[in-house]
Parts: sequence; C-alpha cells; structure tokens
Amino acid sequence: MRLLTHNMLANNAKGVTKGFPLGLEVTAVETKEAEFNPDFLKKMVPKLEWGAFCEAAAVIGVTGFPTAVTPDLFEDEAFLKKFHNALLEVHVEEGVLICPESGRRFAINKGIPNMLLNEDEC
Amino acid sequence: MINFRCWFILNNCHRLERQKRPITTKSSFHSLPPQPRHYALHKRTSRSRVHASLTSETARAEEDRNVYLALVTGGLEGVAKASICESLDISNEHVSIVSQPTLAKGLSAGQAGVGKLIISVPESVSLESVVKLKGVQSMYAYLLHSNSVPTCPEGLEYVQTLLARTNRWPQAFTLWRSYFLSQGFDVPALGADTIRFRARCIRDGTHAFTSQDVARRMGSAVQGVWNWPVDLKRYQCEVVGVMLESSFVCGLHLTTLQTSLKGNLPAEKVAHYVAAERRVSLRPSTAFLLLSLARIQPGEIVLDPMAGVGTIPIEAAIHFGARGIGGDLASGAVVQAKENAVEALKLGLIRSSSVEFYEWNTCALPLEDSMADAIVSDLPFGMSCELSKRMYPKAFAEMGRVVKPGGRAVLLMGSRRLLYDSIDMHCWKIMESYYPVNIGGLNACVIVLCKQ
Repeated sequence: MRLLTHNMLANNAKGVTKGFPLGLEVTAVETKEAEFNPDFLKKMVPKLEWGAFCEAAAVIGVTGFPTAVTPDLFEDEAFLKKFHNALLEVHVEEGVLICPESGRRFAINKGIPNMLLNEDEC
Repeated sequence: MINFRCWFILNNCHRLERQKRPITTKSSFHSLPPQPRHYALHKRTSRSRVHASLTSETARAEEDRNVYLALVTGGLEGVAKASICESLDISNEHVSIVSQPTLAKGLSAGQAGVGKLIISVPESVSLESVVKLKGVQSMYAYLLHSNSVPTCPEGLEYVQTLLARTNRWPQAFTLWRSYFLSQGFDVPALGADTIRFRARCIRDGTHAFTSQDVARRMGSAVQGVWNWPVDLKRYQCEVVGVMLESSFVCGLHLTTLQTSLKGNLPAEKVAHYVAAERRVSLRPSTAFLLLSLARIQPGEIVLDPMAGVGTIPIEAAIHFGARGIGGDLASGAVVQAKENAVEALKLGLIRSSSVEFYEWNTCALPLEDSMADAIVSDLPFGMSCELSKRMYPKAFAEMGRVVKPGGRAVLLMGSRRLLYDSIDMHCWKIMESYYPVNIGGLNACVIVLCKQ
C-alpha cells in the first residue's frame, strides 16, 4: 500500500461519521523505484488531502513537507523528488490502518489493506 | 467478485470419441464432382445435390484485401466494430457483423452465440496489427459464412460442399501461412500435402447431427481439396467452424496455441495474466469492450468494486491510460490480482502508479465520496453465485456514493430485473437501454448508467 492509496481510504462502517484520514502504524516498508513524472505529481496535489498525506509521510519517515503547496514549489526539483518518493515509491508492506473515530484496526498484509467489515458493521 | 459460472455453462461439447478411422471417408464425396488436387476453386462449374443456394457470402471480398474472421463477445459486436475501425483506420463498411439467428425466447445461444465480425483490410495493413486487435477473443483467416445451413441431416453435406467449394481457400491459406511464417515457423506453400491439420466445430442449436459430425465433414472437405494429413494433437493448421442454428462461419485459426479439441471457444492467452487460474475469470477482450463502452479517458480513475483477479483495472491501465482501482471480498483473488499487476509492470505495460487492489466488501467500500470517474464491473451472476437481492441495493448505493456526479457505470450482470428492483433512480440515470450479451454461452446483459 502506498500513500497515494492511503489518501483515498476511509472507514465507512455503520455509525462512523468521520472515518478519514485513517491513522497509520507501520511494521515493514519497502521502497520500489517508480517512474518520475512531474506532470502526474502536479495533477495529484489538488486531489490529495494534503494534511493527511503529511501525517502519513511522517509515519513512514519522510518529514519536512510544507503545510500547504504553493505553485512555486512545482519548480522545486528537490520538493518534487521527495513528494514522488513518499507518494509512490514507499510501499507499506505490513502495518495497520486505524479509524480516527472508532479506533477500528484494519490490517495491511503483503501490501494489501484488508478493509473488510464484519456483517454487523455495515 | 470471482465468477463460478463455469459449473453450469452448458457447452455443447459432446463426448469426444477418439476417431478410430482417420477422416478419410471419401464415400461422403460421391455426389461431388471429382476434383483435381489443385483445383481452381473459383471456377464453380457444377452444383451439388444439396439444392439450397450455395451463396456463402464470400464473393464481395475484393481481391487485394485480406479478410479476417474475428470472434468477439456476443452482443457487443457494435462496440468491437467501432473500436476495430478506429484502430485499423478503416471505414465502417469493411467490418461486417454476422447476423445471429433469432432463438426461441429464453433460449441461450450457447458458446456458438459468440459475436462474429468479418474484417476486410487492405494488404498494406500489417497482419500483426490485426492479430493484436483489442476486444477480439480469437482471430481467423476468413473462409466462408452462410446463413442457410439446413438443420436436417443434409446440413452435413451442405457444410462439406461449402467448405470444398469456397473460392477463398488461396487467400485464406496465404494469410494463415504469413502469420505462421511471422511467428518463426516453417510452413510449406499451398499445394504441399504435408500440412497436418484438424477440423473443429463449435455448435449450438437444434441439429440432426453433432459437432463431431460437422468437424468430420469439414475434415473430409479439406482433405478432398488439399489432401493434408489429419493430426488431432500435433496439428499445424486448425480449421474452425462455428455453427448456430442455420448460421455457419469458418476460418483458419491464427494462433500458435494448441487448444483443446472440446467444443469450447478457445481461451485467450495473455502474457500478463499469470495468476488467472480461476477457471472463469472475465475474458480480457470482454473487459476491453466494457471499458470502451464506458468511454474511459487517460488519467481517469476507474473503479471495479468486484474485481476478482483484476482484469478490468489492469486492462483500463494498459489500454486506456487510466488509474485502475479494484478490490474483492475474496483475499485469494486480491493476491492473484496483485500478481497479475506485477507481471504487467514487469512487461512494461503499465506504470507502477496505475493499479491498486484492496480486500473489501462492495456493500461498504472504504473509499471517499465521489473519488472515481467511472465504475466498470462484472457483477457476479449465475445460479451458484447470485448476489442476494438484499445485497444489490446496498451495492448500488455504495457505487453511487463513490462515483462523482456525471460519472458513468458500465455493469455486466445476469438480469435487468434485479437492476430495476434495486437501483435508486434519484442517484442513477439509465443511459442506454441495455446490451443483451453472451458470456461463454450464458445470457447476460450490460447496462450503462450515469450518476445524476
């Protein structure tokens, strides 16, 4: 699971009103090289929940992102590289996603988040 | 979700009795004029005993064009035709859809109800570009097509005569040979009597004969013309016929894959599906046609909430440049989907950011509202795995929530009735009436929805 993925996931169980962003606990990460594509990154920024991304990035050990993205940052090669690394290259192989409201834990096994809810939760 | 359809698909494969005699029964040829081996087939001098007009619609193929027969998902021929015309840059009139005979209400056409297209392309269009066409299950060098095969015992003689007399043998053989030469095989030229062949028929409908009978007669016809030896296992050339009621198409199979002799349609071998062991996962060609129907644009997010081994998200990423997101309730399927994606990545077909798979329940998707541009999915259907009626409304509500307003949904499902019972019309608008389709012989339908 990459942070790109994490940014899209929410706990949608019955009775939970604010299931986003999910907290992240990590036990194993793997870095796999991905093609660097600045245009894709620029397009992704408005689609991301930036605060959630920064928090998750800190968990996987990439810190120092600005609180908001300004257009001039798109010209900053170092920023883009770091953003690219955190968003697309670091894969959480083993870990847990935690609902901010209910504390429900979703396991990540072999890179696949198990978001299945029990019968009584949905 | 994975489909367990195969358990109950009635393929018309009759028990294969190994033929004790080779198919050299010349007796069946008694009514035909003796033919020299390199008979100029277009000189049609005499009529056969079977009186029905032998107008196998072959004449309209022009001389300097190559003619192919393509099998596609039955019911989506129009979508396939548009996509073929666009990718080969040929005009509409050069792709014709073979009309399907109307069947009694409620009757499934079976595997022979597969869609058939006859494609005529100028010689300048490379063979490779035609064989690699997306949305096509399997490709053949076109031999003949007839809509007037008698279903009584005389039908056998009729088919044999058609195949023996078609004037398309030289062109079809040349096309078939150039394909095998391009694949690095050494194939003798036309006229050699060393080409090992077999004939195969996929038949559905009510006939006074079996598919093996048809195959045997097809074999006799080929032997009467070329005197090739029969080899059911180590064949070089496969003559395939598809017969549905009175309609019959025939061609030379353009594949190096040695397929089973059963009366099934050939499987699709696609390099990046390493882990598609599940016996009835969706055909990649069908997935492509569904995605075409959804008019997916590059960069869009395509969601398949019941992705199984991931065919739809992966095809969306490869052929449409979309970001494919898929998930399934079955963890085994999700693992296989990931393996397939890794293979596609290794082969350089997709980028690492283009597909993602999760383990989830369609009735409670762990996704944010309005995150997807389109949903394309093969909903589970069939007797053993029908989503319960209770689940359909929940699934549609969830799909409606995660698609952005104006987004599309293209869904392959077993029956429309379930749709009307469970869809919220304030949320979804039904775009086109629906497409009745034939999935491996089973009746199904494709619906196109738009989020309000």
